[in-house]
Amino acid sequence: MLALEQSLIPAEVARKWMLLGLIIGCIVVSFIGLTSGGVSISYSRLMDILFAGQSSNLEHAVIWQIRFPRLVLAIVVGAGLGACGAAMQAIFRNPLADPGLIGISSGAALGAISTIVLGSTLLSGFADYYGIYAVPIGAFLGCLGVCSLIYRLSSQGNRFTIVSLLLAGIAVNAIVGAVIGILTLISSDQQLRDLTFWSMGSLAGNSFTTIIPSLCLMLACCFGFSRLAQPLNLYLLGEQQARHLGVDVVRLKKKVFAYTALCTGAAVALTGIIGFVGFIVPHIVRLLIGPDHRYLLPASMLGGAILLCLADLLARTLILPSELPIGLITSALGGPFFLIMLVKTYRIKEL
Amino acid sequence: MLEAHNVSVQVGQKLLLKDIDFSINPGEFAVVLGPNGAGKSTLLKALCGDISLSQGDVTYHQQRVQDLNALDLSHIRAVLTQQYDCEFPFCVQEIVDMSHYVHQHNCTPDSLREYSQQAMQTLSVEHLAKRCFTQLSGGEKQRVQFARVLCQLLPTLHAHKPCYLMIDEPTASLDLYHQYQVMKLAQQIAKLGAGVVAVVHDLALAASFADKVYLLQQGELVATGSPEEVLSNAQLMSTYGIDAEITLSDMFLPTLGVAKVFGLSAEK
Repeated sequence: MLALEQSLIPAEVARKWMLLGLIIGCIVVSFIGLTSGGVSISYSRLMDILFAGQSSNLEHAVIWQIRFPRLVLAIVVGAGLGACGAAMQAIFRNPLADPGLIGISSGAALGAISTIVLGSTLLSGFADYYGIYAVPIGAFLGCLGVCSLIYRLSSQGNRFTIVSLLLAGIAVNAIVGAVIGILTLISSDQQLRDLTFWSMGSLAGNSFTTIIPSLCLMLACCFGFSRLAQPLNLYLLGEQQARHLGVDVVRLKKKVFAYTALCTGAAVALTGIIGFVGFIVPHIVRLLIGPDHRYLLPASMLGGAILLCLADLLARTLILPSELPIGLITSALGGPFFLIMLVKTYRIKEL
Repeated sequence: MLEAHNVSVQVGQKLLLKDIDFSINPGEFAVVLGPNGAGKSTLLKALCGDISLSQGDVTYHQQRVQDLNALDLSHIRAVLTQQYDCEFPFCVQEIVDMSHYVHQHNCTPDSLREYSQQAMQTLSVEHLAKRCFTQLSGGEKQRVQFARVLCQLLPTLHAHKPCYLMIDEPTASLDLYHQYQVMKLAQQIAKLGAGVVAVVHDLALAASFADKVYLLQQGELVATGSPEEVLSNAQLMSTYGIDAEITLSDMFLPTLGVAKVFGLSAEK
């Protein structure tokens, strides 16, 4: 585990400034994201389009139909993944934990891949009924299904231990992995291509009407997480210790589990699997701002939003006119940044 | 008064505690003694409300412990455990301030800050306030946690309401000075009005500070009373199987002398 020197844990005032800095950073990144892309729009034009309204030309459509929903999606998904990652690392009391442990990625993948591969045969009724929403809904249902299976297996009555959760998670993930493997094996070339790209993630092709239900769900979960900041801090002292300080530990764990499943499920349904954000963002933020969840959770949300906005900006501008999968960018961007921070921390620690 | 009536705890086939009666008043300092595996920590857990009882009742002022929710319970009892595996880099001040969660609805932030300050002064860990908890020595960690636990009780003590402090082997990782210091502090907290229950291994420490001793053996209570009554030669021989005696003198706290001929062989 990374340990910080005392001088690196910032004072309360400094943390508030950092939060403010992250908010400003998020706004700046948003504006850059709105102005750049295939159609370049100047800053003053953007202001006209955003606030004056009226003009219904190409630029207007690009902003309101394409870039703005996409930006909102990037911000909310990033925030949700960041918050879920921070909460997971707290509940497992291990900085290596991520939402994948409770079956979110595998469940969503199972749902999405079943819909893609079996959409024309076994699940044709489902696929026809929901049309273009079939894959997101399939992913969301798969995610909730696998998560609740893991939950059922690891909780008995008033007991819900982290060890049983971890073991059930590993076992179910392995089984689901095998099913996904079989589905991949029987898929056609086009289906294989579809599911490969799905598993690398993308924010493309979403309008406001398709994303609003998920957005509401994710925002509600983020709100729920922010109310758990203090109990999560106490939980880091140890489960027993938190209970002695008046925290209903079992309920806390169940809440975090439910919020994480819903929030990440909603995100993954729309965007496919965007790895790394939930794992790396809380880490970086913890190095900057310390482990106190009253700051860590909002900072992780902002950090996740910034990382995903930046990654999306790169994804749609680097190889114009086509697009990179965003999962590649988040890993390529987050990885080196994380390494630099690690090396720096250790160097300071040794001095 | 904190009472246990007829308490038994069974896990699987194993009976960990059998028909224990226990009581402590606010202001008293009770020590639970016994050989390894006698059920000392289990008794403490039963009193804290951490484990479910197979039989009997634990009551805080006539209220059964299972009828109190976690937050209510945290107002009237605090627990200092043996191990802290907090791996996240909180600073000492943050650790102590975690106890504010308990009283955030009935105390002002300013008074809570003052309680933290007072607790840290009492445990002499003020100078560590900005240090990272994970980098402290074992003894410093224990004292910081003690300060947190004390800070949890201070508002209740100030309101002159009864409260209890449970301590599970507080001296395990401490040097001689800090062992006596921690026990002295526990005694002071008892004088402030809290009922203190401590599990310790060191008989001399127990004899030095306890008002009342509970001696456990294989899950059963074998003796209760003042340290002098309980820690008699005969009792030590039958419970621990060693020939030993507590020596009192004017200048020093009680010490434990163990016979040269060790163990049961002394009986021959």
